[in-house]
Amino acid sequence: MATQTAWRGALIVVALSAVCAGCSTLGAAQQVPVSPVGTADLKPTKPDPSAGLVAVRSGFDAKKYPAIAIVSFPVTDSGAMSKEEAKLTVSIPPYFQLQIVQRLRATNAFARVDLVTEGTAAPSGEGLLRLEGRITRLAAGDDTSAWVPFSGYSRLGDRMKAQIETSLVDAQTGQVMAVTADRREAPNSGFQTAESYVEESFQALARDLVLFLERLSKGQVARSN
Amino acid sequence: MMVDAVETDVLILGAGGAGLCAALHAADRSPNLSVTVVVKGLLGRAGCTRMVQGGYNAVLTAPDSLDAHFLDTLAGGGWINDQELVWTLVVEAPGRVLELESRYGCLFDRTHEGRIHQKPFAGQTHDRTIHKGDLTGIEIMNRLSEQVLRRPNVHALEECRAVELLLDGEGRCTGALVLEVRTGHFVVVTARATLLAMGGGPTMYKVVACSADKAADGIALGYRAGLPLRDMEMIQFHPTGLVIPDSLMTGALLEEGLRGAGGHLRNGRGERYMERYDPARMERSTRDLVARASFLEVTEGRGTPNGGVWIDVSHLGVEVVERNFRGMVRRCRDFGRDLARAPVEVGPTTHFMMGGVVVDTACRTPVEGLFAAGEDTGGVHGANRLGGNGVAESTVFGGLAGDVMADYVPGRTRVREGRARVDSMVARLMAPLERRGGDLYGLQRELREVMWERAGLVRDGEGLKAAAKTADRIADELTRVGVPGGTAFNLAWQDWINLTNQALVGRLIATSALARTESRGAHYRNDFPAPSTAPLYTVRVQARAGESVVWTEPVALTRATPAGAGRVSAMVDVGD
Repeated sequence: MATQTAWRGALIVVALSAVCAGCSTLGAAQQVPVSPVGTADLKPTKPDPSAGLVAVRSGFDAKKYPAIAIVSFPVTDSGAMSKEEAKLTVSIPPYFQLQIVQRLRATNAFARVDLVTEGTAAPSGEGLLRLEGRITRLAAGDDTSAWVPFSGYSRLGDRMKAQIETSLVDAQTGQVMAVTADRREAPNSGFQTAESYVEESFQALARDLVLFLERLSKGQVARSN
Repeated sequence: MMVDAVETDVLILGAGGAGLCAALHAADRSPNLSVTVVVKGLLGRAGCTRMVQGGYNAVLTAPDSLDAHFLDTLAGGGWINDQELVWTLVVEAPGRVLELESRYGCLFDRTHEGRIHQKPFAGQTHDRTIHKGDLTGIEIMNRLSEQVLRRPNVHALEECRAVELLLDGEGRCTGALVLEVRTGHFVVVTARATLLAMGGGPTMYKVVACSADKAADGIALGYRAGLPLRDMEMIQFHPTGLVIPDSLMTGALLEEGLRGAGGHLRNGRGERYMERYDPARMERSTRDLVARASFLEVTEGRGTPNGGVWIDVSHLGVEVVERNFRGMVRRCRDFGRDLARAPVEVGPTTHFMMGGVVVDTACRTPVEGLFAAGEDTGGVHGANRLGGNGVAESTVFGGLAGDVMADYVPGRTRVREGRARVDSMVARLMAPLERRGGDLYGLQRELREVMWERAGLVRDGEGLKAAAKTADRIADELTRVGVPGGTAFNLAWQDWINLTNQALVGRLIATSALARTESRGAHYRNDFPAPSTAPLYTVRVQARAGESVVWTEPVALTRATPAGAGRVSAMVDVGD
């Protein structure tokens, strides 16, 4: 009898652990970027510990640049969008831009981090880097679920997807010194709103991009040959 | 007396631009946090941010630059500003504007090309002020309050006021004692982090432009909690407040744009008196100089019958005035004045407190767990505030405070306040309800008069001593004054609490002004009419062992010096 009770207890613990483990995987996970473009001579192909795929121009020394200007990231995703996603195309670019600016300022990696508002001319000058980029994928996904015979209650909706591609430009010469591409995907669980899923993903994208920029500013990123 | 208890992670005292930005940032930074906002009136309706007519200073495009905004703010502030706070303001303001539009839904006026329109304002070398007509504050507050209502983890305690900060045995802030105005119940709100963002409010003066619900509560709370204050002598007076006899609207602002557009100021004899004070710039002179000139005209017997001066824009043409100053035309019309066709009576009005709690760039105060932002703080504006920097300050530092508090909270425990201490606070606050006699409103009038006459636009040592002494006596008499009625929605009782804070802060203003033996920015002394050539300093005041200690500290010129700045910002034409 005691053995049976112990087994039952153990089973409950295992079941609960499985449920908790399932819950803990909620949220966006980093994925390999899909078809990043880069520039003619610089393609983001090298896996980076934080920022997805990157490529850094040979001879580039970020220490020579005390200032960086963060330009707004337009959404270039041409896929069909829901009304909610269309709203996100307006709110996410400045949100992402501000996330980068605030996080980068907190690192003190650059003496000056400027925010370039949309519609204003891109800044240029010596010792200045310009971070430009695009949001090439922005899909909020949906939480459609259904009872599927033999599979149980399954998620059928699209996953949340977010992909960014960035270029680090020497503001004086206009030459692209580094490119990155990163992607996040998450099953849309219905526990959060699409907006909060997407925002979380862009927070993570900004955090990881800033980690990359911080390492770059310290000369800790390998250059392309 | 029953005292209710509420527990929260982040407690925000005040719900103007600073309080609401702090709430939104804290709530968004960590959606698992509970955020409680204490608002003296109704959410979105209380405070001064809503009253902002002019606009919001932020650098958006060349040829303007962060350095220009920085230097303009220092020059306007007489170089006694905290330069690190100013730099934080100018660096963060563009991002906050972006956030206000893209995330919170504000929509500011646009140019024909669709870019944000920026207008010129007093003391600024570039067109920098973002606006929504002449009702910018309403746009910002409506959107911020809508956003707060959307967030399930933000809870507002409306028509509640913080009456005391709670500190534990080790001097850490553990929340606040809050009074629910509607019911008269006290609530102990225990929090892991507390923000003072109650918006200053120089309502101890006779004529005021700020929201009437303010009473410098936040500054009084901070002072009683032992926080050091700075620049308390710096009170900004605006030259053109409406004069409407027997109306609470007396003091309400008519924007400086009227003077910038070519409006004339005349005294009771019909003379354009600015010829005597600043013949080169006339009505387009600086705000402090015009306000002082108007004050002197009135005190020297050349005012209008109601103790003001005339502003006349009728020569600009009815159509021009009605098109460009629609809000002000309507405001005047509400009181039977026709701004577009006839002179309107105006006078100096008390507008803004530049001084307040000492904070660092992360809005931290010297008391652990206590943060401050907005008009409750000192250092950003120095000796005078530029038009458009007020709402920028409150939203920038409010947002920063929200972020910092959200990061501060994890791992901190909530400490419940000892019952005995709360009971003694409640007993002190309830005491006037048990007493009879005394003239509460007589004391209120006396304080307002003495602050206006002796610690106002034109000061001297004798007057300031008299003002400090009177404020002290009023504070003492308040401990004997009775208030009729019960606790529920008793406005006389609320006024007693207000006056207690106003008398305290009035005394701090007068004693700080005594310590500044020079004229600088908004602080003008007849007995020291010029700026001192001695090294720049700030005046500090703090309660230590029950005594008020005043001292001066040299200004840290961490980023720029007046000599090195190379130019002085032109203080010209328009602004609010």
